[in-house]
Amino acid sequence: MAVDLAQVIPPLVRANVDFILIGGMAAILHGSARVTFDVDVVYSRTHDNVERLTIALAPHRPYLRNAPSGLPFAWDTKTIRNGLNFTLTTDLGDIDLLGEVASGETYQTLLPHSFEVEAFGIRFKCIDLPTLIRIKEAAGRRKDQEAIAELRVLLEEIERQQC
Amino acid sequence: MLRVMDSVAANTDSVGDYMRDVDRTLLLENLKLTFEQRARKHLRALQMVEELRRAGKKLRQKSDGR
Repeated sequence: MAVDLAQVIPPLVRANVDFILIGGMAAILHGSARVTFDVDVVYSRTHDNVERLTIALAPHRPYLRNAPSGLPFAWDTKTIRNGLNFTLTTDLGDIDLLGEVASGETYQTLLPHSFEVEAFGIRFKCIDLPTLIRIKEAAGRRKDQEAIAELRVLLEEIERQQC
Repeated sequence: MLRVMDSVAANTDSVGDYMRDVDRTLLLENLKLTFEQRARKHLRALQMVEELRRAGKKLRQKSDGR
């Protein structure tokens, strides 16, 4: 199922969920030409926000991605509070909810490195390009090397255009 | 520690190598678009990838049935 940012983001914004778009979709918004198959967001772990997140996604039947079918999984605040990072499949497509990223950073520490995007008639937060590169580098995954190279070239081009 | 530094250096080198191969024309075209246009362009690409996957799967099923 092709994940559509225009379908995934609005329910979160309407429910006032505190989140920052990161990962491949953030790279797309920055101008990446690569294809990504899921939406990654860092969410605030405050009690109220976890509750809002639970309510926002509940109608879209979140379930653990690649989990054996029939595995008991309750989508509720307790589950989210007891976990941290969730790779989910939903009616809207695949969504990764991250309480923390590889560099050990959280919603609160990444917030100063985010900016507001206006699209699909709504506004939401997206990670800035230098921080996106830093997060991918911190993950240290070999499969990210090409993506990091592309993001660095993007940063060069954006800085060149700003000169 | 040295092993970690070697690994970081190796990764940095390969990123540098990959940077030379990045098609800047694609990126420059994307930079002319709004955020929303970039997202919609990506969705169209994603839908095409999925269509090709479906076609490949059908083809494999057909050839397996022969």
